[in-house]
Amino acid sequence: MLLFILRRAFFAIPVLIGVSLLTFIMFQFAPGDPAQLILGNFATPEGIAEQRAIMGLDDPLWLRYLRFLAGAVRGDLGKSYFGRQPVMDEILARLPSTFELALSALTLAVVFGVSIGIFSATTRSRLADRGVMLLALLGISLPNYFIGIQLNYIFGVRLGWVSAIGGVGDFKHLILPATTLAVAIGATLARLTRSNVLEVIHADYVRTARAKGLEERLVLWRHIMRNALINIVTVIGLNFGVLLGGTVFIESVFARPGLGLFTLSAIGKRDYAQVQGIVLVFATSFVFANLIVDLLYGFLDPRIRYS
Amino acid sequence: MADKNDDRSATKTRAHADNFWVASLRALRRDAAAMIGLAGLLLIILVTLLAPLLAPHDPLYQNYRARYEPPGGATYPFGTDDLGRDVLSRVLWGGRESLGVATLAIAIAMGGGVVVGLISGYYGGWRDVLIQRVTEVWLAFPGIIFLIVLVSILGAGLEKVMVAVGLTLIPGYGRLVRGAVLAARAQDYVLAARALGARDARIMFHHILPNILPPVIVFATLGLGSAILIVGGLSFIGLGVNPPAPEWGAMLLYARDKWRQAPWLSFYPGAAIFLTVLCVNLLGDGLRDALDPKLR
Repeated sequence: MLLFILRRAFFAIPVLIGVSLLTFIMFQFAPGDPAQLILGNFATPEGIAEQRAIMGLDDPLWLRYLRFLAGAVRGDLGKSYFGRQPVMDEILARLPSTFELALSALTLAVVFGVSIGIFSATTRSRLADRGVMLLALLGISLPNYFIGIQLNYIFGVRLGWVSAIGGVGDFKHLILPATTLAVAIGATLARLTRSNVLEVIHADYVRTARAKGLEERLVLWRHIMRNALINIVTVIGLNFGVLLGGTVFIESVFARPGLGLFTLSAIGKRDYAQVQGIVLVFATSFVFANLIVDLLYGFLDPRIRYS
Repeated sequence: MADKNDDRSATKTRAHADNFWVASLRALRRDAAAMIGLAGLLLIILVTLLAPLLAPHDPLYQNYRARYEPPGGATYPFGTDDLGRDVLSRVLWGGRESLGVATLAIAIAMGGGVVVGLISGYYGGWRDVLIQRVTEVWLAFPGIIFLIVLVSILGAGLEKVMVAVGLTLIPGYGRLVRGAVLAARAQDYVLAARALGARDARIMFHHILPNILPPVIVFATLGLGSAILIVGGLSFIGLGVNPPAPEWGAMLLYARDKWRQAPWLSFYPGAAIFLTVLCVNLLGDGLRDALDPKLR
């Protein structure tokens, strides 16, 4: 198992290098001269030349990439153009809020999505199955920014139950944004769980398990779900990007000061030092999320460990 | 009818291929939900195209004597905004850009993905390794973040949004096509075509492509739904169509700070996006069931 973990972790290194390279190249096309942006409109040509020299902007591309990579590895993402703050600090300050939002949404989505999917696949009532799946279809068709606006209006403005806007670390402020973000992923998981359970529910080994008198609950969890889980974990992994990206819309709707809102403000200011840092942090966490999914495969299906 | 399609590889004749599509179409026609989706989608497209004729008012005309009219009135069934613009007319006009952009973006993603996937799967070797490594890195960027940054670097604007959405989605299609090509490559009809001396390009596009098309079509249809959501979302955060224009996402953005006074301003454009995506998804689900011979 340890060997398996190490091998998978090792495979992530070239991807991370590729990610840093693509990020670096992408931002070479960003409009504007960083030195000019930092010094403002009234900078003299000499001042700009000096600033470029300080930042090493006139060095060859490969040298600048290596410098960028060396910095990133040590957690140094440079300084923002406008505040001249270390970008890493600015990101770390906002990370907990986004992490909290993403994790609660994911938990909600998995708990509700998987149980709804199991219910839909195992219920005897065709009507209930149809009804629940229609709800799931509505869930994947609703724009999350639209859900956010409507929930905000209904619960925040009309009913006055929760003050939806702002605040971090407080359950009351988390419930609406997390629910909003969870809808689409939960609905996807419900549909997927249903079809995966239906696929194996008539398999021979399930019939065998029943025939030997195993309790229905154990048949479900030990035989049906254990096999359906691989696909479910895959989709959770694939949805990690949706989750991270969704935080941009949700934080924008609910005015939550997290990484998503930070991204939008950085783009609005054209502070590409910040944007570049954010992209690298998002992509790196995405790579690690997928690594965890990969490791979970090995845990769920021992055959994968040895291939 | 199902038994004829079970083994499509063995004898691939023109009649056989036709049978598959005819049978799929027949299955699709029997699917009430899919037909509702298709009818709804056609209606939305028609309304969107005919918006200049159907809209009761100029979507940009500002009637200062009818500001913040609530919905339900005879003149303004969907109400008006803070500048007295007719919400109904704006919603009718609002799909023109975003639906077109989303469709073209999917076309780019599908076209690019098919070419990349065919090359990767058919040739294998260094081309495959190269394409797969690039794909891995590409996919390592969380979609929407990548998209937002791409649009901000390219600069806002509809063509850029279209290209950016298309580019971000290519790897997904590439992966799908590659997997299907790998399965098709070793089949008899491909070996037969090669034995007859067909060129690689002909084998790829003429022989393999029609056989792997069904899952690509399903993926693209369901992908169109997400593309519409994404394009609307980009406008909502100010990176697509900009607010004065009547466009659903941009209307949502414009309505943001007017939630309290005029909740209908965000309701109608949001509902329009939702209904469009719902119809696309209904059709996509139906296509998936119809094009998968295993389920028939």
